[in-house]
Amino acid sequence: MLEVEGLHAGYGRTAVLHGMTLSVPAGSRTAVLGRNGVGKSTLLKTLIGLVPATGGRILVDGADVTGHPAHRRARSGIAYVPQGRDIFPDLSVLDNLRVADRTGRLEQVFDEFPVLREKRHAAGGSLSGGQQQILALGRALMTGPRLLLLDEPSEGIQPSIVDQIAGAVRRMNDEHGLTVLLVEQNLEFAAGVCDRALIVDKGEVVRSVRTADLLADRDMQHEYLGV
Amino acid sequence: MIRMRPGLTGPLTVGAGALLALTLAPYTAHSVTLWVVYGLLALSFTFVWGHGGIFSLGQAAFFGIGGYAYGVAGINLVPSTGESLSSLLIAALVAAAVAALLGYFVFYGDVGDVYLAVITIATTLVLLTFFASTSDSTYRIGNALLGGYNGMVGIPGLVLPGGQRLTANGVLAVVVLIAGGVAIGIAVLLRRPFGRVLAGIRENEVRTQLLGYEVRARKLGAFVIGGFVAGLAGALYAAWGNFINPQVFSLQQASLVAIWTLVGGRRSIPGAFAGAFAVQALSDYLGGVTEGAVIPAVLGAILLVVVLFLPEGVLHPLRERVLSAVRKGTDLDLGVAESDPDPEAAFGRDATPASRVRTVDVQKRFGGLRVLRGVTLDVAPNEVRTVIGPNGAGKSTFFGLLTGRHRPDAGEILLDGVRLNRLRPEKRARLGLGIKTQVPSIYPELSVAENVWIAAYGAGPDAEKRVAEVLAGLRLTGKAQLPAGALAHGEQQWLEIGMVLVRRPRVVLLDEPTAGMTRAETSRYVELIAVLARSATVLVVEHDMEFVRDLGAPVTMLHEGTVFAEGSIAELRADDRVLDVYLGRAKADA
Repeated sequence: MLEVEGLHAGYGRTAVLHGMTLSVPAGSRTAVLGRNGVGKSTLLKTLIGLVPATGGRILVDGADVTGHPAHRRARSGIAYVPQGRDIFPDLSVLDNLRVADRTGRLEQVFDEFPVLREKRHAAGGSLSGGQQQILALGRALMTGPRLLLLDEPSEGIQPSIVDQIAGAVRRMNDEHGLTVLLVEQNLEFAAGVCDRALIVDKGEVVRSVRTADLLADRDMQHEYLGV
Repeated sequence: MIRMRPGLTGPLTVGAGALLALTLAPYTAHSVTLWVVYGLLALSFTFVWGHGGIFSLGQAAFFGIGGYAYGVAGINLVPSTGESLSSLLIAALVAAAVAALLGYFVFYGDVGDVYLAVITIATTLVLLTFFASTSDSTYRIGNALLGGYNGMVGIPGLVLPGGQRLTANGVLAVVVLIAGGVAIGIAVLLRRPFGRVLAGIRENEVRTQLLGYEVRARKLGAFVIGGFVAGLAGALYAAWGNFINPQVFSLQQASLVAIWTLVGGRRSIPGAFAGAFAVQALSDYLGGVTEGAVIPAVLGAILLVVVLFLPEGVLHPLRERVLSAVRKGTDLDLGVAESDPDPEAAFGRDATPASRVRTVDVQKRFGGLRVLRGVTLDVAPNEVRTVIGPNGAGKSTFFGLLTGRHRPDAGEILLDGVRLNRLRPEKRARLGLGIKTQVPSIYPELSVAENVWIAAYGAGPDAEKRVAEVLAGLRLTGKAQLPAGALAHGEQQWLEIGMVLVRRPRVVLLDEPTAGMTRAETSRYVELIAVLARSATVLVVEHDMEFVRDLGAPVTMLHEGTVFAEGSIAELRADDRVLDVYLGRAKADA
């Protein structure tokens, strides 16, 4: 589904990704873990095209999208849910979803997330943090993606909604074959959603492990995720 | 290393111009005088905007005020003094005073750049309305009638002491000498420390402030000088035409100033005159062969072409060609990678006592969000302390409270017992606080040597000597004359640390100093901090754990806006609570 070969990217002269290589099979759920500042969010931004790649290649189903602008990547089936959610606060829930509507999936998204139907006339900004996260997820699903990029969806959200989001992501994967690439700080959440984790350090993928193994291995947690 | 004196080119050019002025046909001389006056007005904008970074659309206002002030002064004084130079000076000073008043509110009110442009253009238009409504004969100052929309008439021309009348050529020669003198004065000023620091403010205001300069006062100073020059130009304009009307405050006049400067090149002093000459000559020509209505369209087109294709102005390509011809032969070795920086050589000093940094229960909230819930920290003199924490722990906010970017809602920030809470960043810098921000914060368009010089100048004597030492230690001597923006990322990081340390701070605050650095560069940094700690207290905010471990300094860990744990990195590693926080587990309790 997604192949990344020797990807370099950064901001101005600050290089963040130093030749990152990874592979995400179709229909898989993969987590990207690592400490602050190692390049996890930059990886997602480079994949969707918000940060230009300065070297390497990004292949989606074998097609090279490295030079494509973000809107073309979105149309080709990649959806990105940014950290901090970035919903449109002054638009209603319905309009937030309609903005992304190209495939007529409104009812499907409402069925998946009944809370959005219930709040459809409320302004996006008036929702709670967890509801906003669900809205951002729903909006991403409106585009009918094949690959979903999620950046720290559990950040600052109460545990019950975190579980709900984990369940929804798993279901989208099981039922619709949606491929998931999840960046997280919260190890339990990541392990709850994904079976495999790529561990990133200093702009490179340093390990690929089963999340169950990582959860059980405190030494590995210390080495890559702790202080 | 840093050139302080301009050559003889300026005075020679002005002298030649004045001589040439005497040879022109009188009618031509009369027209050219206006161009020179406009060039002087353009120069005021080149100075405040191109060099000071202040996008003031009010230069036309100061020009008009200078013109009216000259009219009032001239009509009342020239009959008794018999010369008009004193009236010129009075007019320029009045314009400068108005600029000082307006500038005080704009700069000390911390108005943003866009609002500055809006406020200055609005002031200009208010003056247009005011002067247009002064037709009643009660609007008079002494013998001078303001004259409303028709303007003020009977303004005396230029009269030199002694009272002899000047020919058109004589007027041009005097105007060339005055404008040329001002231009040379500005060129000299820009090479002086004032001009260099002004360039620093333009390039990177925050960095300049963190180096201890009172930015607001310097911008105000530049604005007042700009007002003086524009006012002088306005006075010469009124003397040239013997009249002035409110059209000098019009939107068209205000935008013409920007067009002249853009055409000539926004930093170029000769360019200000070249731009005014080119645009006015073209306008005069078009006015002769067409109805004149086409002029704004042509000027607009010229402006577009210049902005798109000649952003440095029409003189720039010419200058580059001359310079590259001169450079040929002098072999500047740009490609050679010099050896690693040597922290010991650059910053090694005898052990000196540094300052103690303490915070007591500092709190900060943004809107409803309590980012810092109370941080208490005590860093002893010459200690190195690392502050870590997961995302959102409040590290950046804490750093901002120390630098003066934010002000605490409660608690104390103390430097050797002196309360810093509400001090502005430049005051803290002068108390001995050195600050290195996360993204390299340098002056990209200034040379490497100028970057370090600006930092060194504000902090005691021997600036030149300290600059040379630091550049040698950083192994940047060979690149001293390159623009700093051309350096590699790692070199820029070192340059910035050089700028912080050349001031010999007693406390150094480092915000994620190794962001974007390679492993090798990072280990040089560990050495640097050891050298630093001999003469300064060092506080590092960092999340690169390998760097934190290599540093081996005591660690304070923040979490949810408060101190969560303190100890050696080994102690923190052994603490399961710390790991839980980093893995996002502790949130479930909140």
